[in-house]
Amino acid sequence: MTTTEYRKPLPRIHDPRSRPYWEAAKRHELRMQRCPKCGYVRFPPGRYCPECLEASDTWITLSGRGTVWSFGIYDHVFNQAFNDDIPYNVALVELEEGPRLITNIVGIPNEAIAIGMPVEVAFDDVTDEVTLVKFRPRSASA
Amino acid sequence: MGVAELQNMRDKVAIVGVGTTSQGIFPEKDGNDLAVDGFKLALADCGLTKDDIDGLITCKSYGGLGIDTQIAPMLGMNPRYSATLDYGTCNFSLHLAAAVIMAGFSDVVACVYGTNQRSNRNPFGATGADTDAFGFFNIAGPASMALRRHMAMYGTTEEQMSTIAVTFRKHASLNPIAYMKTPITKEDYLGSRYIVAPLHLFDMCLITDGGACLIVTSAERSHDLQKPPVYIMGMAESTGLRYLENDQQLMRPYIEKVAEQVYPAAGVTQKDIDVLFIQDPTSVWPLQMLEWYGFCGIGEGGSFIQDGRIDLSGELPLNTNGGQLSESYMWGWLHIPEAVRQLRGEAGPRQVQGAEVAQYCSTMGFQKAASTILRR
Repeated sequence: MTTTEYRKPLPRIHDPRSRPYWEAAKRHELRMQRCPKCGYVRFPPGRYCPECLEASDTWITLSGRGTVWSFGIYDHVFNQAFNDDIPYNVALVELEEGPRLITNIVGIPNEAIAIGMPVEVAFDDVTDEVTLVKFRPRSASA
Repeated sequence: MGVAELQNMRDKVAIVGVGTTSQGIFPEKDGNDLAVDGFKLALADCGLTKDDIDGLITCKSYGGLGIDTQIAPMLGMNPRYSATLDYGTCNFSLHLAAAVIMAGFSDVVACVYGTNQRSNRNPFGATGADTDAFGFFNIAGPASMALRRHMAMYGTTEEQMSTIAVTFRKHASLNPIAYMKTPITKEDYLGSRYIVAPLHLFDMCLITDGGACLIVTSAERSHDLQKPPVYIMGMAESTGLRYLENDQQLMRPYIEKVAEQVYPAAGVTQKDIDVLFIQDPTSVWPLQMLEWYGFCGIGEGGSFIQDGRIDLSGELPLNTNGGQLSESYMWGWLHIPEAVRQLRGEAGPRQVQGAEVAQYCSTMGFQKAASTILRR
């Protein structure tokens, strides 16, 4: 898939704060900053730890496991790029390490998504440059 | 927690004038024009002139408008104090006005808001946030997640939720400035399309143009004006600004901290509230806030609102103006003018008989909460 075919909004992958997150996603790794002082894992990426205000960080690889906190099914087109996707889901996933993120659940029909469902990260290479962090139902062995 | 200090504010500040323009579609005016229209109506309501106003608190509006440095020149004013808030709901503006008056920065403050986001076609779509990539648009997104979670945890049903939209529409049918006056039924609600399931079309607020203004002053100054003053008994705020870093953020547990302050500040309890207003960008707001403010237990909102309880003639009339779901979307700015009119006995066919105490509860998105208790 080339960038000219992909019409949906793209994240700011060149922002210096979040570039390591997107570079890792492109390698199909879920990485976030852990505070070397207090251990808090922060997301979205930022210069300072919001718990202890420490400026340094250690990028760690996360388990990729989480659960669905809740989700909505979009049946209205707020942005024409999603016209063909209706109805599509948007979910809030809580990771085992603590952070929560907005994402899509892939690999199952919308009707099968449930609150509390165990999920695992599923990387979606939407352009040559950008990989989005999505989630799919967790396999039994994960 | 500072409740003692908030108690010191009780009955010290009053709303003396309210102005609300027609609500609807006004392509010939921009948001600042509509703010000026609201200001003129509020002046006429209280009998003051613009030279009496020495404080101006404006509210940012769609298209980069609503800034004090834009609006004061339009009003031909050089007030002693001015400020612009980056968000609406009116409670935050009113609380700042009260603090400004108590601190002595100003004697008489005008709080204004105007928007033409309907005519100017605010798309409520992409915001530039990274989450746009997932199609996460509009307040309906997080609201749908909150409602789905409420349904899963407490058994709240779509049928129960229909009561909010149906009741507010009934109230709007009695309100001359309401944009949507045609009654709807539970069947209309259940048959309407989803915007973001489980939120139906009728759970969503309107998109409209309009203007509104409050004139606020000290209790001493309020007595000899055209209309009886409406006193601020209590006010309180709380935030959940860390947003999704907070546990259960979309259920908005931080609202309970407002309730813990605002009733002691005002010296009343929930039972004393004769008419209640809850800002309603979606019907999830009334559901959550009835619970966090303690009108019912947590999780009981869906059953609490049944059997006419929140109807004009019920035990807790809610949003007698029709709210943002049916009157107009003015970022929460129309609920307080309606509360003032109820307490003055000016609400006509919507009048709650003997209304003495009113409360308004609002939030800025999912991140800030505020409430004001008013009395005549």
